[in-house]
Amino acid sequence: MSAPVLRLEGVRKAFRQGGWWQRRTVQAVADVSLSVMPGETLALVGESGSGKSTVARLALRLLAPDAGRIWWGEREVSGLSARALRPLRRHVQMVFQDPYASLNPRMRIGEAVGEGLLIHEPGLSRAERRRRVAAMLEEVGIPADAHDRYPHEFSGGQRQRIGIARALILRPRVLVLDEPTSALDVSVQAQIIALLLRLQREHGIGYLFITHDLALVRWVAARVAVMFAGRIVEEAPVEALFAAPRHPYTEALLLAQPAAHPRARREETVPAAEAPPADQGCPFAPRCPHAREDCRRQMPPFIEEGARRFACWHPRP
Amino acid sequence: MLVFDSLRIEVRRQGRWVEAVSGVSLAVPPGRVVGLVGESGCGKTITAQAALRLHEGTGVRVAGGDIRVDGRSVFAMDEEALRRLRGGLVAMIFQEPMTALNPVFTIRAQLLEVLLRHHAISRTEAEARAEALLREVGMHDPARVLASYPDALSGGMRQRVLIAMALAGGPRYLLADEPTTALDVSVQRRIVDLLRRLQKAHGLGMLLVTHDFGLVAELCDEVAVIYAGEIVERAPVGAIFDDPRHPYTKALLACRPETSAEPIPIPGQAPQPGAWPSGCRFRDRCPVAGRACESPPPWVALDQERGVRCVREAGS
Repeated sequence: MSAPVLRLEGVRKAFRQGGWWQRRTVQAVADVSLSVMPGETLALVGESGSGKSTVARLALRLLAPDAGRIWWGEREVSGLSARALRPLRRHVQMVFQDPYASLNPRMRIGEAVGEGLLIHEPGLSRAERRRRVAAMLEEVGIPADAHDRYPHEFSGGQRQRIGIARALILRPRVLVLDEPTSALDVSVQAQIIALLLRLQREHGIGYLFITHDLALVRWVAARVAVMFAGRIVEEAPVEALFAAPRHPYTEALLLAQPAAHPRARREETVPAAEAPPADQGCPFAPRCPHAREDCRRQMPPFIEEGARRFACWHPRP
Repeated sequence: MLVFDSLRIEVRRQGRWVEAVSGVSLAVPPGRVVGLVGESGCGKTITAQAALRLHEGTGVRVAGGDIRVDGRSVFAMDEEALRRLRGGLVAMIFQEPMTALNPVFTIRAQLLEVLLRHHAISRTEAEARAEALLREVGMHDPARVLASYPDALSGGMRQRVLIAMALAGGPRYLLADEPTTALDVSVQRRIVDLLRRLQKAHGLGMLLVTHDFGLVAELCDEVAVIYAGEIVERAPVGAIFDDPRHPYTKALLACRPETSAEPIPIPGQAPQPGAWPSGCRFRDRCPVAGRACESPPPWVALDQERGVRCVREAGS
């Protein structure tokens, strides 16, 4: 079996918030371990504030972890300086959520897509670089004449394709995608997902696909990790997770999904309280309909069960 | 009944008026939820906004047709009647709850303003009603919410406040434009439950503008699918999912994981007003288009409740 192209082990990150008069720390990522295999997609699902975007920035080493270890392939990168990271960055690239904000409006498409080559393959001739950019643009379905045009001349979906070309031109082994389609129309979303699936098949790239849209996970991923309050609470093969969630939070997320057909409409579900996560014991306990006394006392450990794991004292059947 | 009758809307693009909505007809009876479904740029939001004449002064004009609320033309109303209509008989909830609330006033000030505008009641009575409304939309601590400014509330709570404000004038019709799009799934679920409960309890007629078939499945009784300013299919909600007839409806359903095992994208993107192809407006993206689609397709009534704008359904 091949080695993971991205691995996080026990990673933690806290941020300070507020000014000098009321300094408090927020534990954005409390303890996250995950791995992405070549050619495979791990979906990371959670609500806003769950820490999933912080995980993305840690995985890319745009942030340094407070604790824990991060590997890109065989290479451990948790403690490396910005300078030491620079030559390695080509292996781990990123696609952002907002295609309007992620491209410099004053940079021509050709420059934006070829920027990585300038840094990582400085020996390339101008003509060679232009050829590589044109080939990459064609691969993502952008016409060749885009080279000398500016981002504002393209639609949201086209810009997201350009963002993907920019990330892939260095042939990375891992792509971190942070809500790459949530700003797009449904039809354009389907186009981008189809493109990402094709590129993965052809190049064997590993994807860490971050989303709040659990339904989308079925299309993109083989495995899914569910995050709550800075921790992964359940990780499982997609089909197993949809068929029988073990963690009550996963169950709640699945119950919250809109119906696929008017016949499958559920009458009003019991509204879980919007209580903040607990500091002690299981963080989900204040919102959990199945919580008991022991849940409030101690953080549940991970239980491994075949290909899945979950952190819950009283898992669902 | 809220009736859109052959509504035509034009938008100003580069100094000239181009058609954005071409003869949309829809009826929203009290107690029914009608979904207006399509991609962005298809004309669904401006259609809904025109019902309250919210388009005025924004480079959008109504070029023909009418919108009637319980028999009265919205476009024939004077300022005073329009003021009473807005938030009175017809209320609207928007996609982005933050922009719809004024950040410099408390929730109390904003909610009381609506209540006092639409009802002949005292301030004390209005206070009591404001609390009752916030309870109705599921707020456990209405006093605290009333004293808050919008930015102190979460996205889900703001949307509840907006729904309370929409109900404050005692509407019979509700226009909801992507009411859950910006929210987390679990919050979305609670807002959907709330909308359904209130719609039933008050017997509201609701026009739900969305691109999300999940929301349609949850809330709608009937569906009108709009493409490039035209309604291309209309059907009861079950039929839309079980037996979609227009290639655009089928294609939209294939764009979501809930309704399709794999992504089958529609090529290209929805054309902007002024850039519609001649003949069938969907033909350059349609997988089954042929020569016959070069002329404008007829509206084919399949039965009392169903119709489709496609030449393939005609003459059979």
